[in-house]
Amino acid sequence: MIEVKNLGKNFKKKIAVDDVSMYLDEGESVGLLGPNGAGKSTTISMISTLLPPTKGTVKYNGKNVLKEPEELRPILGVVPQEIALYEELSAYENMSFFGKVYGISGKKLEDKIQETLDLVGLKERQKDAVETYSGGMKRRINIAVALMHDPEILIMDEPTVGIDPQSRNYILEMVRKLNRERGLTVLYTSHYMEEVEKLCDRVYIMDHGQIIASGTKEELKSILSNEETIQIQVEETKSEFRDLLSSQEGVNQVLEDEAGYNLIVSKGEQLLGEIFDHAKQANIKIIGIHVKTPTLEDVFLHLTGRKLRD
Amino acid sequence: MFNLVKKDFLTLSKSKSDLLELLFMPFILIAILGFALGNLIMGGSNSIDTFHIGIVNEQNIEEDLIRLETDLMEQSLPEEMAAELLAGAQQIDPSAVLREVFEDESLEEIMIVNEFADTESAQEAMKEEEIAGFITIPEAFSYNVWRSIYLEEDSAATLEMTVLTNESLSGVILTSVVTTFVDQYNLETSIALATDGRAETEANTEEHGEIMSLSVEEPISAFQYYTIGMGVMFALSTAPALASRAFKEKEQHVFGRIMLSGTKPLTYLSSKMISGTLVTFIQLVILFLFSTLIFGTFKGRDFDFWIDMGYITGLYSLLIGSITSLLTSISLHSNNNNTVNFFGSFVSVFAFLGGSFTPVEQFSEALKQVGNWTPNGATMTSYLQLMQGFEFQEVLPLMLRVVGMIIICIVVAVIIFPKRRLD
Repeated sequence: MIEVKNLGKNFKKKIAVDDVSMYLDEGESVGLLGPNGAGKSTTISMISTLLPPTKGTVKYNGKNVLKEPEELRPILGVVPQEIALYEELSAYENMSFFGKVYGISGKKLEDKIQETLDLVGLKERQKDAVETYSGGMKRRINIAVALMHDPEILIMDEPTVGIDPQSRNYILEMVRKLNRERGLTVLYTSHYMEEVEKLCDRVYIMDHGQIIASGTKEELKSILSNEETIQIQVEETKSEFRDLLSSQEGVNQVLEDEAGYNLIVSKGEQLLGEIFDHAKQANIKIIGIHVKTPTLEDVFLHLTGRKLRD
Repeated sequence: MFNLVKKDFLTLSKSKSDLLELLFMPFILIAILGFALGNLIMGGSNSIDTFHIGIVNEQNIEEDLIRLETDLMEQSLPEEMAAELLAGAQQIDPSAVLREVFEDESLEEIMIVNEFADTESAQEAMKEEEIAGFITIPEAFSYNVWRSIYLEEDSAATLEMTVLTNESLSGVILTSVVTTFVDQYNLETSIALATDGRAETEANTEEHGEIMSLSVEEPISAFQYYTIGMGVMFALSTAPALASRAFKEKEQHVFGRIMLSGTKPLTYLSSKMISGTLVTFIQLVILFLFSTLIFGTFKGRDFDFWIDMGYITGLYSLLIGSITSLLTSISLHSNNNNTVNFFGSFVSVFAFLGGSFTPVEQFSEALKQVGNWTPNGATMTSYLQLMQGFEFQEVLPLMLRVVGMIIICIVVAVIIFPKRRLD
């Protein structure tokens, strides 16, 4: 359906996106996972024909949409990271305006507005100005506007940034429903591993403007098939303890965060005894320890040495 | 296109600050400047409250006539001639003429004449500020005037005038009326004597007194001046206000959404121009209408005047629309709002050069010429000339300047507007 080849974008001397290649098949849900500043938004701006690339091609059903954007635009629904709405207008007025921009009018427009408002759960507040909405409601109406013209492909750029868990779940459920029940093709960018893991069939992991890994969730996790993660929660972190863990045989990587340490260790290694010994030696109080199977977060950690939200 | 324009109006109507700036502020400034700087404007006039004056008549006209008759008899004049002079004297009774002057219809709206029996009661009324001043016609006033006319004696006739304060407008008017009366009376009697009463003095004085009109110019009142001045200035600020909204649309990715719908970039640009034009036209129509209703600015103007005003307003609105599209193009092309902000802060400079605050020709004619090359200055001069009675053909050169500016703005806007995508 959509094929991206060697896409690149430079802003003056800075390389924002470098040689990105990816594809989207009809009806699938694809995740673009990466930390802030990885180049995800620039990539989807180029795919949605709003930003001309420095190099590379974007094809829709074999046609180069960079030369013929009108081929792709009508079937594309884009949800930008920003609230791309007239906040002084009501939800109804926004949807009516964007519906008309797409050439929808009369009863069809009215029906579509009510149907979409129903989908995003904002029918009751449709006459209120968007600026009076909560962050989560604004995000929902931001998505609703992108759905007004029944697009075939929905490109979403971090649609859940800065909202409460309840609204976040609502949006995730809605996107899953659109993909599963309506067959909408979804390209979902996020730096929340759990969102991509929940919604997407295939995942592209991006960092520093490049795709560093791609595949189905299982394929990506198989990168870490010989490893597992041990999470250690401590009262207080100490560099001495970290050094002891790093020098421990069988520990491949140590990552420190505010709660404690994440160890990527070879699968099957029995290291719990050694960990407690090191803690005693460094005078560290362990308050929790958990051995878990790898997540996409662990894959990213393994590939970049950093956490997604660093 | 209609949808885009409708959206601009809808968003503008929800912005109280913009509405305040575009519609309310001009009224406030017209009121302040109209009242405060009214006297600085050529031909300007402030409204004058009606005031009261007093007349104290101490003479007895019958006694004066008897005294004159006795004097004429003593001159050994033939009986017929004496009777003729006596009849003529009654016709040019100076106290009667003075009364006629004060009872003239043109003065009715300005001053009301009150009669007083004596000077003391008039003084008392003036002290209580019931009257602005009073004129005393002293005893034997008419008799003394007649003697100076017929017997060629030095006049002992004196009119006494007392005013509350010489500096007050009412005092100035009263002095002016009395001086005019004295001049007019002297002129009339001189001509009557020189021609043995044959000349039609009234008609002659009218001719002599008429102010010759050297041009078609009618005076512009302060409210008229500032209605136009503030109108063109605030209309000019409509352009950066709308262009800023366009930049905000890009910043918030709304513009991207509109482009994704397949809307042509030039359609979007045209919508900005149409919005700018319509907003300005409506803004000026509301301003002129309310200014006329509240301040009586264009009261009593005929249909042709309004048609010509419509032409100028239409062209100026189109110019503001084209400036809006140019600023929109620049801000979207350069990816920042600096140009729009700069233009916004430059509006007051344009306004000064164009004469919105005060007629710049008072400072220098060259400044006026420069001002007439600004969008608002050219338009303002056109409006003012039209109000002074010039024909539309006479303001056409200035309007052609406006048309030229429109063309330049549109061409540059189209050339620099991002054609397909947002770079």
